[in-house]
Amino acid sequence: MLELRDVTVRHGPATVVHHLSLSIATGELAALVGPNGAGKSSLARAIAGTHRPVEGTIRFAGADITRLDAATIAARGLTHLPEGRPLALTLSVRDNLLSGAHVLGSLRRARQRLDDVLPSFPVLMDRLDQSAATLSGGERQWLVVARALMARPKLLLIDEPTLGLGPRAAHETLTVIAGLRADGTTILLIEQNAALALDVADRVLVMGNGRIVTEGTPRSLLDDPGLARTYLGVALRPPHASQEDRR
Amino acid sequence: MSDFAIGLASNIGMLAFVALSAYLLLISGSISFGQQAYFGLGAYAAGIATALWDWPLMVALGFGALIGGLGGGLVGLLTRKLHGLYFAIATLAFAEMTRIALDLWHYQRMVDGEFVGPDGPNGFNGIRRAFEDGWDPATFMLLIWALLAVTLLALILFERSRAGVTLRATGEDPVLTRLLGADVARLRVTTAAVAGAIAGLGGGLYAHLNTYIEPRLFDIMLGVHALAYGLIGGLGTALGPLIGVLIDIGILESTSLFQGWRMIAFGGLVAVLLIWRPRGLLDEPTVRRLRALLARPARHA
Amino acid sequence: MIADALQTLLNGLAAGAAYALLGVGFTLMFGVMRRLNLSYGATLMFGGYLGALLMAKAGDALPDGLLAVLAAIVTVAGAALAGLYVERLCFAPLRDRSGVAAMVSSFAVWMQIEALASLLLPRHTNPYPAPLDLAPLHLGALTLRAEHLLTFAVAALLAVLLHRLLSASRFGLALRTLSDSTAAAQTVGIDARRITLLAFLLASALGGVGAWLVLVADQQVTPMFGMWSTAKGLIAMMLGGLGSIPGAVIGGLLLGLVEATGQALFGPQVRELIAYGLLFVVLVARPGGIFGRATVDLDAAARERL
Repeated sequence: MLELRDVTVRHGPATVVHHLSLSIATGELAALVGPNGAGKSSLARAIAGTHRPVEGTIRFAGADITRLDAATIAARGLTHLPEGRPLALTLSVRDNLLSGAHVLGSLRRARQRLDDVLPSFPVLMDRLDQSAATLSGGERQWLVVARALMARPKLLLIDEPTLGLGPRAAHETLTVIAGLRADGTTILLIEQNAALALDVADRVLVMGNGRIVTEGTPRSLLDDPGLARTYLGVALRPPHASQEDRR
Repeated sequence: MSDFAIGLASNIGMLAFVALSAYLLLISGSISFGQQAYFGLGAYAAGIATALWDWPLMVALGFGALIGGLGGGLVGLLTRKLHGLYFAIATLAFAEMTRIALDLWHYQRMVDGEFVGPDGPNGFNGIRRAFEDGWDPATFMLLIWALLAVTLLALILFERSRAGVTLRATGEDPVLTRLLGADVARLRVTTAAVAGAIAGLGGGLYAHLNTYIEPRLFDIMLGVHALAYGLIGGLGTALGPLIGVLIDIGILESTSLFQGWRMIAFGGLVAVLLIWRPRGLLDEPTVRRLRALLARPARHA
Repeated sequence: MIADALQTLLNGLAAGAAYALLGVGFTLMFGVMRRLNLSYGATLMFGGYLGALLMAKAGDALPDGLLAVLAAIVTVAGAALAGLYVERLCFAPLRDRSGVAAMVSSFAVWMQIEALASLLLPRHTNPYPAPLDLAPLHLGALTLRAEHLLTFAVAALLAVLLHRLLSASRFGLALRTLSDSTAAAQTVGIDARRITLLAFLLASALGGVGAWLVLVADQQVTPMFGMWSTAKGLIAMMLGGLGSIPGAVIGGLLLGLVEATGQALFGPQVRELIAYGLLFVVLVARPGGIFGRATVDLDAAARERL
């Protein structure tokens, strides 16, 4: 579904992504992990169209999107959830959600879509007419995810969803994301918290200094503790029983 | 030098003062639409000083600068918590208030048998001290340029000083400004006062060269022009605004044939130039490159 | 006494309704760009001059009613066209770059438009066609001029239409989202450039109607109209709180009332002084506007690097 070839991204004079190639299959949940400054968010921005790569190609659903702008890419079904959870804080929760369906082309279709999406988010259903500014950090994360779903995305590019959230909210968020994958949405998850990402991902790509260092299943990464410590900076816990079940 | 050239040079000189005034605030990160108010206050103050109170010319010019500085400092103090657009509009409001107040103000005295002084919208006539003292257009032009040169030099030295560097740095980074707190706030208010004084000095010179001033001259047109000069000429150096004035007056005079179209052409030129160079011809990167180029031969010597 | 006060109130609200339209136009533009369009008033003046030009060239040939209608159309269309020109030249190319440059650029265009207007109609005072030649309505001691009624009716209608557009249409939602957060708009796939252009056209058209209401009451247009309408729109916007449409409406009405009161008490010159004085005081004391926050969020304002 998503294919990157030889992508290079620059930030002024610094090269933050070096000739990076990767591919994401339809329906899988791929996690991109790595330390701070590895270039993960820059890569996400290149894919989403907000910061063009200087070299390389990006193909999405069979089409070349390398030089397209963010709005066009979003309209094609690639929804980016950037870190920082950008919301229209003076607008109501309902309006924020409806704006997520902008690419559907009409407000009527957006309202229909809202009826489909809302039941999965009871927290938001209670707060539809409140201003988005009144939501807590965790609730805002729900809103951002629900808003992303409004666009009927083919691929969700989620950047650091658990940033700034307490452990419980972080865990809940990732449960939601795992649920989305179960519904068939392809997901590229960017997470600094590698332990959490390994819990839900089908495949993990480890990024360091602008390059993919290694990739594989969560199991294979955990089997190499030296790798984990070097690139993720943390000794990982053994996998949860739930992951054993999924295998 | 012909009379025409002398007049032109004098105009350029005086406009440069109000351009430098706006420039000083621009590099500190503030857009002021209101420097014309201090130009006007300086003009009126200096004019009153010589025409009504019989002060010597130089003292009057200094007085004009003082009043301009007080005005600038006051507004700087009142608006110290405002940023960006809020600050810009506040300066505009103050400048218009000043203009309208001058329009309503009458202060006349009997001097040598006739009434002299600001007469509301009818303006202020009879500011003849310079010519009574023996200055003629040519020597007065030299005075304008001498004072301008001193001002330019002071500004260039200031920009290289620690205070100047701090001012530019905080101008580009408001978060840094907040971190540095009270010291920077004091620096910025002082800068506003100095900017006002520069404009006030220019105003005093203007009043004495033209012998007549009226409130209508100190309107927003002048204020935005002042900003535009810096933006066209470049914000990288104090010479930038001067170049902006030269370009404007230069084009003004060279296309005097097509009076009506001059403004249309010039306006379009400015708009296009700003797309290409948003911070003017002599913007910061260009100035750095020029300085590097000029330093090279010195190093090889 | 009371009759005088009521009359002042009426005059103030009528003027204020027009100011409100100007303020809303300014606010719409500011919302999507975070910049001031200094040529706003000039674009409206351009529309007004087209109307006056029509009257000058064809005024005798056309019946009064038709002339007035055509002038209205020409004024609003002219304002929108000029607004399009400004957006394309001054704001679109500098979108993610220097805000000061964009504003000074818009000032340069203001000068262009003023020069063009003087070329079209060199005289200072140019008659503008008024649609109604009705005698004023007298209710007791109150005088209700036809222009007042027209202004109230048109402004109210536009307010309702605008509200519907903003709250119940895809475009309106996109505009509100973009005005609130450029990042959020980008995330959901809103094309900021397209929405900005459309917002500009909308704002220019609204301003054009506001200008038309004023010109119809004055029955003339002068070169000062550009500066005048820019100032009124700006003050209305700032009084109500930068970026708030309901605020701009209230700001406009308030400005109209303050001016009418000032004129009744002190005469026409002081009126302008009070308007600017009010603006200055509001900015210094409550920068968020009378209905906004007492202190503008420094971080947000600081991050709005111009």
